[in-house]
Amino acid sequence: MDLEKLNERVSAARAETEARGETFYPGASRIHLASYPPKERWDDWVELDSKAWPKRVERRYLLIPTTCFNCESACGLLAYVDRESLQIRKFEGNPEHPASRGRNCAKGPATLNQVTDPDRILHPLKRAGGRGEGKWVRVGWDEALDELAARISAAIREGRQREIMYHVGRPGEDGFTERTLAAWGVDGHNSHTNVCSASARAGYQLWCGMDRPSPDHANADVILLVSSHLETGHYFNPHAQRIIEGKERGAKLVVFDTRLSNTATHADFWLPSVPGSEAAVLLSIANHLIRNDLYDREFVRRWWNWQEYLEAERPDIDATFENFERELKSIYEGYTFEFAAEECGLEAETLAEVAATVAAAGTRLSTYTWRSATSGNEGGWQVARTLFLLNALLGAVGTEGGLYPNAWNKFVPKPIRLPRHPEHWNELTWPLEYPLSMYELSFLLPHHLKEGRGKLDVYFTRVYNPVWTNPDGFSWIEALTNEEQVGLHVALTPTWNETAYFADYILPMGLGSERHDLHSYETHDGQWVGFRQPVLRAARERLGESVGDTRQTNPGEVWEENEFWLELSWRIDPDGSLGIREFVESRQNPGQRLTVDEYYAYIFDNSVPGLPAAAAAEELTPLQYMRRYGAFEVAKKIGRRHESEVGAEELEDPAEDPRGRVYTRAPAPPSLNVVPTGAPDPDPEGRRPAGVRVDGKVLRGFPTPSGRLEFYSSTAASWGWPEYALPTYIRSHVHPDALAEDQMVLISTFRLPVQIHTRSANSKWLDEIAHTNPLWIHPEDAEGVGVGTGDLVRVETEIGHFVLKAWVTEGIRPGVVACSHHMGRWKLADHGQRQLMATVALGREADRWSIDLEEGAGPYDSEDPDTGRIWWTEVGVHQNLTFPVHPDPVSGMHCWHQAVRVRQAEPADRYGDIHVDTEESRRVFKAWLAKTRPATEHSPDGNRRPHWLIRPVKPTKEAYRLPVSPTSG
Amino acid sequence: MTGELFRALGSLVEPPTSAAQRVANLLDLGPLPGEEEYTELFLFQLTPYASVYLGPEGMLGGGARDLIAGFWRALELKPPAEPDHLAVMLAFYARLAEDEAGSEELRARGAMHRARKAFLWEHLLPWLPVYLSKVMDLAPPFYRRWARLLEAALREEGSALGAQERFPLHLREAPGIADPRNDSPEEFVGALLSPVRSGMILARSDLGRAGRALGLGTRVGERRFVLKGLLEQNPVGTLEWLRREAAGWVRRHARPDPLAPGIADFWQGRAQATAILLADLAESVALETGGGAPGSAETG
Repeated sequence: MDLEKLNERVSAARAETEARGETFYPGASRIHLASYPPKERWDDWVELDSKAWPKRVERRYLLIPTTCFNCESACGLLAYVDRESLQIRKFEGNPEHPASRGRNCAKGPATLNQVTDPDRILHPLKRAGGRGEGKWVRVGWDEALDELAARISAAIREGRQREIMYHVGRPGEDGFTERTLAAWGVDGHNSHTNVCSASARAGYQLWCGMDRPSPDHANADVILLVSSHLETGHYFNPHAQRIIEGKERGAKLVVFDTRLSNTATHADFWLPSVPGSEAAVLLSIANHLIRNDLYDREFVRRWWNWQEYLEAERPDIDATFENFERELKSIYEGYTFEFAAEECGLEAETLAEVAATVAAAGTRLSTYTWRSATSGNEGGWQVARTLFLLNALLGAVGTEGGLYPNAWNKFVPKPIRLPRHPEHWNELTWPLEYPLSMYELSFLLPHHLKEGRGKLDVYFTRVYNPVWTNPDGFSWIEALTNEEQVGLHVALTPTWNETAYFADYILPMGLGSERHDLHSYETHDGQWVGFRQPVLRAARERLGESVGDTRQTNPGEVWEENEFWLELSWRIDPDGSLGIREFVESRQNPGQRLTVDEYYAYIFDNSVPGLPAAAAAEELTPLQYMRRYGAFEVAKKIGRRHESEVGAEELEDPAEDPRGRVYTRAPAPPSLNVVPTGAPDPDPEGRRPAGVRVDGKVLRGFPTPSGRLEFYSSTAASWGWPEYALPTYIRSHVHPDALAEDQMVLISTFRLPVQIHTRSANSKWLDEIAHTNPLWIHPEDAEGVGVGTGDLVRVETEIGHFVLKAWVTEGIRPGVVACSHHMGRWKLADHGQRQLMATVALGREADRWSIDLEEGAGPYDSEDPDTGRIWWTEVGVHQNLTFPVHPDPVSGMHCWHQAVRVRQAEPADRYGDIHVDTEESRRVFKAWLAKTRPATEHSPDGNRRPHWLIRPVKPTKEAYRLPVSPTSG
Repeated sequence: MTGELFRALGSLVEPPTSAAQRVANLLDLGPLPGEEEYTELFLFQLTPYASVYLGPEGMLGGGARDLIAGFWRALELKPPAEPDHLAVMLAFYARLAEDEAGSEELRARGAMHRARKAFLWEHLLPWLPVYLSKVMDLAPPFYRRWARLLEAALREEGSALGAQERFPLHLREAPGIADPRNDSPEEFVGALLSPVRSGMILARSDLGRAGRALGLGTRVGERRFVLKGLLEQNPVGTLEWLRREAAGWVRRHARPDPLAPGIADFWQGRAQATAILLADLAESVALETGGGAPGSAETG
């Protein structure tokens, strides 16, 4: 046996196979749970049919990639399309996806349930009776499109652009719909951000000009999460796999969470702090770093805007770094471990231990907060700001194992044609009271309508369910049933929801495997784009058929949104007189409408660096490549963008301010990545900011006014909030001092690991695992209230109460109760999803509303035999209805935590009861409104909002100007 | 250099797919057996993880796996999810060989050479000859051919690289057999099933063989449970059966091994100690109870 010869033979065969782009050694199935089919066999993959067992029946599949549409992580899926029946048999992970790398959470494969859901909406429906009466007739797409086009066209022609609004829950895409609204010239984008992430964004944006964090968990030495991130947080699958990689390397995990979440169980340090005290703890860690000179002095000296701080706030001393360091020590000296311990209810020694752990991380500190404490508390935006302070102190910004701003780790390719800026300002969503809000005050819409600040002629809710998701849902029902306030409500949704009942049209939109979208997210230190596609259409095209419209391959008359928006835009402006048509007209075939293929082919041909070459290597067009693989990695290892030097060619007639901000007359170098970032103002002569001088060199810096990391936010200081210009601790509205003796804090924001807000109710596999939301209560509190697990409790908020069952557990801090918002779905009469929606009766007497549960879930007959096996009846309680609005006066975030009283249920109380007084809701709205500092009184430059801050569908500069006499219309 | 050969041999520890058949053809190993035979060998009888054979627990993971993962860490590499799986270890060995060949700088090449030699002597040779000899007992013909080829390749590598002075850490640190008179019965059963402690590999089918020989029922469960059941039903008979098994391993380890005499001596010593202990135990238990259970094969 000649071993050397054998070796050579294998080597040669391997080289030859891999040169063909094929896989020589199959993957190790035991490590990856299931080995992935090698990509060269995606056209004809053979597997045994599990249902035919014990017979060995072979099934042949086309494997078509798409992107999951359940949470916002945009993980890759691989649809197994049966070659015979051309039906989807299952979804698995896409191994070619750079972020999810073939791995998915339960929600990915459960897309199949959503596709086959017997209760889904398959045809356009139009209301027949009164709004909310539950009577519907089936209509054609043409009828719906024509009515919408006529109304929108009339509104635009009559200068009523403000009356058109698109309200989005799960965007699941980058830029397509914003482009559509901009093409219409309509400032009508309304995102759900203010019930989700506004405060986290505000904290990050004010520091670095970019509004999301992108931690490099896999390479960190210390991972600090203010979230239950390993199982439910944003991007939890792509992040969780990297957190686990970090832990495998020996990284320490620190978790702030009042509940013993699955994430907390994996922590080296679990900090179940008093809700709202997080910033105090983070500042005590910062103080430890500062007091003991454990911070990265060079990084602070080079990159913080300390000079601006001293000049603005301490004109009495010289603006030297040494003076700043002395000042820094004194600013935070009060944040001792003892002080923080007092606030957070944990031991000072534990905090000291955590601080020492964080200090040891150096530049390998990855931190993350998104919803959690930032969205629970008034002043929660300072949680993000104080968390970033730790990275900024350690120089762990843009480093391996550190924290990146999202815009460096995300790629939004430039589309075929970028439209104009709207010329008006929508005060329903961007009211003067909230000049610094991170995005639209979406959840205040019913109150704004009621106050007469405006009205809506056409209101789209798109994969969004404000009646259920937002606080104060009865006020939403009041607004939606008022035809004076909302002229036409169009619900774009794949499935029934509580908001759709109050629509005039329900237009069925595709699920993750039934639509096109382009999506990118900051999942790690790299950049990628993921392509969602209607897989049955892609399958037919791969088999050589030509498909003109996604409705031809989707179930029923389900459409995809891209084609819907293109067609609607085309009908709004048939002759081009509104200037809209040009944005939806084909370049290849002038006179015809732009197709989805042309739209994406343009992007893939022109705006994704490296993709055309990668496609050419496989003899594919870039669009074919994306249809085949579903994702493309644009760049890896981005590194410290702020340190890159600005070239001399970019510095035309430069000017420099006394603090080193460098401006130029040269236009910005063209960029194919149009990811949103801050857009700092030009200098007084109109030069654009190009960089910042650091130690003699002009470097790219950050997209902030100063070009540096803004420890001192001149924006906060000059727009009426000078006391919050530095990272600081704001006592929450649920701080113990603000609670009455018999009140507790209710945490309502946490997710259940296998569900996702309003969208996963039609997934039977997920529903069977998680279908109810009991009240977490500590044994000490349960004893005080006199209840045990399973007993009914009444939870009283400021505006009403709800009744649910207690779950007594040590897994929550005493004095705090918790109830997941993922449950409590309801339906009226016969329309709705039957696995996870209870049938209820809505009651109303003037402002007093109630919900009585009539029937829980139960088995039923359908084409899916599993619906006959539903064994659960309780589907949770819809607590958000009982929450008044709590808009943070700075970020505009709805501060979710509630001060509540928990009592034993009264004899007449029944599970699922809800009572609310919307007059009380309005009182609370006004009380929080009184906390604001409006632009009319505090704008330093005559604008409604700092122009540099990120804002979706940014209007023209003229529209930014404050109205001459402030109006409310 | 025979890097690719090791990677190819390692890949055959994975399930028998058509891709694996292509590799097998290149190695002249003939047609792969079916999935059932693969499952029987590598999942039920002789799971191909070093930690099972080198760890004092005789189980997956633990200190032995961590020691192997440490080899990656020492080279500033991230250990894979299962560093002690035979396919992973052989692929890693192949990579070390390739990195050595690909190093242009003399010092780097020297360092890679030392790393390769250390991996071979510390983590492959301490258990693979014993493991492969057991594979040759139990496996279908294809995997017997595979085992012979792998053993030959290892021997060639060993002689090409020369002996290592230091005795492998896995073996140096391994505790000896446990004595139920001093340790708990669980510890004793665990030690018997830990090859590095007992000097022998007792697969599931071996325990089935014991049950048949002794006319005892083998209960359904993992090996500890099965062996405990045998010992409870017929302590003297089972101890005697185990003694003869250990004696067989003493003879098997006694075959001259010029390549790694120290390692072979270690295994033989362990089997010898086990055989002596078992003989002693069988005798004292027989005295205590006045003989084995009636009707057992050993006392009949």
